[in-house]
Amino acid sequence: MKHLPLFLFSAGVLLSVESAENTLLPEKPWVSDGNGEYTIHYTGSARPALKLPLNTEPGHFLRIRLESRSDSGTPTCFMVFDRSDGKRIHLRLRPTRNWEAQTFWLFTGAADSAALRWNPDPNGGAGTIRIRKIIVDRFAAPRDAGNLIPDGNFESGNETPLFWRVHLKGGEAPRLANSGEFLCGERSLVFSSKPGNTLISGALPVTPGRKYRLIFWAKGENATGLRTAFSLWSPAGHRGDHFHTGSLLRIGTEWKRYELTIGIPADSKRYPDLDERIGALTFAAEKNALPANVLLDEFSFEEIK
Amino acid sequence: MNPYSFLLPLLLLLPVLLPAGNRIFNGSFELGSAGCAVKTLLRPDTNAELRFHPLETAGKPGERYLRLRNPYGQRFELYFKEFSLEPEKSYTLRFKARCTVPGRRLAVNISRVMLINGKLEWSGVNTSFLLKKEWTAYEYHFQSGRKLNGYAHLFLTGMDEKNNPPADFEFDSFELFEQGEESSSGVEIAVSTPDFTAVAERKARIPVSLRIGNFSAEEFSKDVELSVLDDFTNAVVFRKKIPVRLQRGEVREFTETLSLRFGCYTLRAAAEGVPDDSVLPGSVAVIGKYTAGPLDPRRDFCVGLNGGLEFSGFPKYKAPGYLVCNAPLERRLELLAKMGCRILREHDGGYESTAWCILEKEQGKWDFRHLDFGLDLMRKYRIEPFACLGRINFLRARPHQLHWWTKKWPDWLDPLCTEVRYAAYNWNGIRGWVFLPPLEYWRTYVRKIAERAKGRIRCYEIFNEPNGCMSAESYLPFLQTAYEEIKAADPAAEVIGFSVTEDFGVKTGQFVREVLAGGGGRSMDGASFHPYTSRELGSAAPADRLIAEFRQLLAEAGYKDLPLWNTELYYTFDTPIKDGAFQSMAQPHHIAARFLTDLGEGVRQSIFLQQDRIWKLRLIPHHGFGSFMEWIPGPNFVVFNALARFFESAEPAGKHKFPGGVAVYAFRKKGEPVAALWNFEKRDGISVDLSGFKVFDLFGNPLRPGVLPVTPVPFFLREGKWKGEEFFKRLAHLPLRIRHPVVPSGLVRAAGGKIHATLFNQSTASVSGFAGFRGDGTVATEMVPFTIPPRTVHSVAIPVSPSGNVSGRPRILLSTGVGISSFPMEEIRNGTVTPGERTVMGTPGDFCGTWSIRKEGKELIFDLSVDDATSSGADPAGRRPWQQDCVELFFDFDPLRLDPDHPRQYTADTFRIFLLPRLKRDRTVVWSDSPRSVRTEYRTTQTGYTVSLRIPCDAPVIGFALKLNDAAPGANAHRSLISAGEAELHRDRTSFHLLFFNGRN
Repeated sequence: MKHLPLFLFSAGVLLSVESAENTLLPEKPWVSDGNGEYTIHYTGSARPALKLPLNTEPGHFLRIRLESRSDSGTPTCFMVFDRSDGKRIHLRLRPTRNWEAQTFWLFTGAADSAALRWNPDPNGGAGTIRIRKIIVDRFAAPRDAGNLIPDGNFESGNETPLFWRVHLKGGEAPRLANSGEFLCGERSLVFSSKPGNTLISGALPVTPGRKYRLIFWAKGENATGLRTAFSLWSPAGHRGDHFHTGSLLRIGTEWKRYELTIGIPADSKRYPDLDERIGALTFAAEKNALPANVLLDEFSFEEIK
Repeated sequence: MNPYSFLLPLLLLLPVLLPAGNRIFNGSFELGSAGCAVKTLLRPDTNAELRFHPLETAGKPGERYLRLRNPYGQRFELYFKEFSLEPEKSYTLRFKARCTVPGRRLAVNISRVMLINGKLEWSGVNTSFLLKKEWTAYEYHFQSGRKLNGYAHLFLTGMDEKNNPPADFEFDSFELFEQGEESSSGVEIAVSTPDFTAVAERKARIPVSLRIGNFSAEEFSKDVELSVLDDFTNAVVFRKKIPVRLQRGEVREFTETLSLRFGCYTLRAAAEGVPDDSVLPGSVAVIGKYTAGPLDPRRDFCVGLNGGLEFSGFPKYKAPGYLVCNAPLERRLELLAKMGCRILREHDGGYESTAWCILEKEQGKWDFRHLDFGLDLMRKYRIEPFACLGRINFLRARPHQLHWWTKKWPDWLDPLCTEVRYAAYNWNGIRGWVFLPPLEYWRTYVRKIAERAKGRIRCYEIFNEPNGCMSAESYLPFLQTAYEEIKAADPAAEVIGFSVTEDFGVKTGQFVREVLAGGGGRSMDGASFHPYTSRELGSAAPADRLIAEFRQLLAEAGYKDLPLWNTELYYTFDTPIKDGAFQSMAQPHHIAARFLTDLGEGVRQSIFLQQDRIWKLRLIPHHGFGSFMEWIPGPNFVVFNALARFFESAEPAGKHKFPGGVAVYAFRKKGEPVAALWNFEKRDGISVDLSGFKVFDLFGNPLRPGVLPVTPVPFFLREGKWKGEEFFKRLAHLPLRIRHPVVPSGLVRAAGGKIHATLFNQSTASVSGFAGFRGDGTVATEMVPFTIPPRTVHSVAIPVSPSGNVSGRPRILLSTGVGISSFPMEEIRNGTVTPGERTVMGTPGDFCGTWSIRKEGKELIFDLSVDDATSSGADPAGRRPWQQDCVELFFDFDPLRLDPDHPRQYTADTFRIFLLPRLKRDRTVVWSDSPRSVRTEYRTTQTGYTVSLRIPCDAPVIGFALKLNDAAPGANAHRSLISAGEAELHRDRTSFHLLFFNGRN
């Protein structure tokens, strides 16, 4: 495992940044090109895995960054996090036609070791999947990571906003579009705010009992209402009461900055999902509001110190 | 026998034969003299009554021709409506003419003067013909060339000799067309009103005539649209279609009546198939009634102008006379009186009534006819003559000016004049050109004037802008002598001294101090100034501050109550365009703002504009220079009329400046409150609730009170619901609304991957927000937060990156709540210099400089080695530093902080250092507002010299530029090298390079 030098941010402590280059274990037909790129020409059968063993500290967080691409077919690829404390977290990799960056947050729970593996889903069909530049960042706490939302300004070069997806089947996938006359950058997320369509973020790590500040900018093609919420969902399986909190925001036709404070409960008996320290943001249309395309940009979700 | 007889049948068809493509409007004169105007020099020697003969047309319909009567042998210029030409084409001008005296020369001129890229571009062609007694056809073929394109005009000049016989001229059949064109003639339309001026209480009913001639080969049956354009707002205020049906050859008049409020209007006509060249627009100015009451210019503020009766002659014309524009001489004064002008400073209006060269043509022989005529004529129209004695006659004309220069001493006196003593504050290049007469002759001249004009001239000014030409030491005796003689002859007359200018970079302070120190304050009843560097309240050197500083200067010498007079400011607005003609094109709101500023600041009189600025160019509207051939009141005429009606004899009663750049001046006029307000910082998004006041626009039209946008165009306020003291109280607390509490400076600097901008919080509360940038291939990579206290400036550095997807003009984007405001910017992309890196400029071995600049701790070190084989000499020999072998260093120790309104202006952190390596002493000259500790080391080398300079500096980034000058011994510098391109380093700090030290050297 190649370690980059330990360094301190003024806002917190990034424990380490590791390139997984020399540690990955590809199972055939996964192959490495010797320069950190791993490819599988998947036939559609079995579940050959690209595996990454990890040493972990209990109660810590991992941020997995990688780039992926699929240049034929539309294969589905799971990303599975097996922890030595017996928990298994299933995530989904979403390779697109171009190399695009993706980011995943994982909690180590009580595990002192774990493994990440990427294996295609036989139900997803055949195709070619490529993965490269896998980087594992380790944090003692979310507060050490600054803005927990990756590519919050959508300027990374991705054509697709991979950290965001439809929450319910049948919804309209979010996309990127020209920001228009915005303060910075060129692109913003477009969410089609209408009944039945909900936008959900990728996993976001939180600490029980802490507060988080959500900031974003929004503008609608017409005035509308947007329900913005944060929910706790254990990726290892929901139990107990479901925690969610949010606000109804009035979105106008001019860009405006929105700021919400989200308090995470500390009572894990009532909200067992707290044990996994993972939640997600959702955006949904206000009931009876006029449908509208809403531009969203400059996302920031940070623990309030 | 009528020599024309064989042509008669053809003449009847003439209008039909005139080809379209004929660019001369009404060339056949079937619409009368429409489209023509004559400028004549009325000669007192041949035309004692100064009669003016207007243009006439004679002949039957279909055979009309133009007649120019000239029984007095006077010079004339006959102008025609402008037309369009294209470049690189061949044209033919054709016309017929005859003269009652054969052999008279007629000059034919086609001229085009246009403002292009900020410069007046003159081009033209000309020829001449000798006229015969019988009708003769003349042709002139010319090439338009590269420059004769756009709008040009034709003018004919005749009787240009000293002695001309009485002679009438007749003209017909003017055609100007592109060679090779062959097409039929068309329809022509002349729009007119009974007079160019209408006086009304509020609105004027104006009959409009459309005289339409169908000179085509077919019947004309179309709608002609009459439209009326407000000359100030460019809004169309009236539009109507008039059905017209004319047989070929038919000329008919159509009428319409308009109701127009105060303002100036162009009346246009348009019809399908009728080109613009074939339409002569009308013009009308609607003003309020001005009644000239008793007025004492020594006490009562009034409308005044610079000008005169335009008595012109030598050297421009061979015989002198009064220049008139298509009207009798008195018409000008009649119009000025109608407008409300009560004082005329006789300067830049031909030879003034007090012109010494006319009154004492021969030594000892005085002829006061010219003086009496001028004074009596002005007084007839209740216009006060304000005599500027001596004007700028002390400045000799350069060879290229001789043909038009009208400022001079009498010929017999000139050889007796002696050169003045100059001062460092005089204009560059003035030495050798300024001569004053012996004082005793001056004394006699002033005495003669004062005695003769007693009671008719109540105010005198002594010289015009002497501080540009001579030292106070030279000026003082002439001021004192004049004062003595005027007071002796007419104790009630007032003497205005100084007439100091800030034009062309000269400063007034030192001259004023020296005159006062010499006792000059006792020889004046008022002090006059020409505030060319402080034109507006929003100027970098604000107008009100200059007035206050001038007052302070006088107060320090014990003259705090000396009244101030603004006696000249031809350039009333700030502009980066240097062309003088452009700068003189004042618009009504510029005029109102300056007038009201002077009045509001307690200036006794404000006589700032030249009289021609009130006219409108109707025949040649695209002419870029103010050559007038008609006295047609323009929008400036209307605004002066409103100012006279609203503010004559008013006295200042209060002044307020509000956030957003709003100025309010309050006055009392015969005890009644009146006020004016405008946006002098020219900011967008400022509005004010004026409920409770009666509100008027700058022409005096009533407006509906309520919330109104505050722009650079002043409002006038009178009592409404708020009266008396309540009026003044409400003015002090006007409820302003500011749409953009934070605004950026007008330009940004791009360097080091960032856009550096300055934001200004113009509100009264602290404002937080975010700044971004996009445009012209660049976009901000992140927004930058800011919090700015009220009325404070704040610098931001916005990280940017190139982007092919971002187009449009560069703009700063600000969000302080809901929405994003976009502010177009000028983006200055400065070169950066790497500290410590050597840079070479010029040609090694010839004239070349190798330099570097770095920091050591808190000290800046500049090293330079110059190849320059010839020394300019150890003696400055009267040269300024940059005129010798010289290294000019330009420093800016806070380059990223830009004034919101004047970002290019030097600040207290901008300074210049001149290094003069060849001199024996005074080798280092520092121009800085604050002391700078500079250490220099000079060495002469085989190839030239080296210089090393050290100066304290703890700025992390500086602006810097370098200029090297090379001069021959005793001569002025003949070449230069500049590190920053063609920039105007001496006035634009944003053109300097940027050096980022980043904690390193």
